[in-house]
Amino acid sequence: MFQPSKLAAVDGEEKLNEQELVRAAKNGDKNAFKELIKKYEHQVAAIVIGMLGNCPEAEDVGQESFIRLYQSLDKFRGEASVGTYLTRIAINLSLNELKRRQRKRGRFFFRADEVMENIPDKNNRKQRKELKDIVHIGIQKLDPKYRTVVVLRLIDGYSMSETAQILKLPVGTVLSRLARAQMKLKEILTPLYWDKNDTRGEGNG
Amino acid sequence: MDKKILKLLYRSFDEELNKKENRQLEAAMKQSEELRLERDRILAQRQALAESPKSSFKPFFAERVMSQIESLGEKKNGLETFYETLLVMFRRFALAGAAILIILLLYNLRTGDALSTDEIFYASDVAIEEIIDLPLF
Repeated sequence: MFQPSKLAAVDGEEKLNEQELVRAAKNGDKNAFKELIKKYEHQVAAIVIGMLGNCPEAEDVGQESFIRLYQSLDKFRGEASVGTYLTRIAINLSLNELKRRQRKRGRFFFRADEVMENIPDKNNRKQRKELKDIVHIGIQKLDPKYRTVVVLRLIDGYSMSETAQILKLPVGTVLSRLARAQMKLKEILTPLYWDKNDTRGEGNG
Repeated sequence: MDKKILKLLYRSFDEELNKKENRQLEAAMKQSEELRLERDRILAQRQALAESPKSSFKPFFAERVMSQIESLGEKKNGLETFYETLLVMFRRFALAGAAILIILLLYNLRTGDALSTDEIFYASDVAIEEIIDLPLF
């Protein structure tokens, strides 16, 4: 049931290219930084969209992540890879955005009726959404600290140790949060999906 | 469902259980259909997440970021320009003041025989009481 490390075998040549790009960007080469953006755009998109959902704010946070990287290039010493550094920035900015939403709306996640609006008529087989469509809605209902580990571990495919390194948490904490997150996700999805798609073949649909 | 067994099930997805824990879990799985269903649901959720379509931003994302970075650079230069302008203006006032002082000195030197502070500021006939009485105070 283990997943191999996402960054297990970073190609030596690829790492060298990344170091060259960073060095050039530090020296003011804007094209080099643009190459870094293109290299990590999808990684950052996976994180911010996973955390915030597919909304305009996700792109703003994505842009801000790269701008923060650019502004902190002088301080970047290369102890972690650019990808890890960017991931941390993206996670922190996403959490800030979630806090901002909470201040604005008084909650981190959608209300149940908001979620139900996105779900088609449970009696209509043709409209029934697949699990993969609904599970992302369920993730948006998770508390941010659980959402973070689900996004990094289960969507982005980081290993447990990588997830712990990115979040600067002990592996044990990440494990317990992930277990708790999966339990919560299952609770959320039960009325939205599992009750309608009983895998024992006694479903309502 | 036994909470301890349920916890073992969830742990089994991301960490290696020891032999005793594995045996416990396997035995519980054989006996409980509910537990097997729970495992299947978790597996399905994890698979759905892992198979998520690759997220991406709208096209030309890199260009938009570079444009933001360029505009940040321009703002910074604007701020620096403001401070530089202030310095230049202050220098001009300071230079103008110094020039006036020099002119006064030269004038007094030309009209008087000696160059003294009394001659420059016409202070010799002025008493302190008169200064205090000035409307400045």
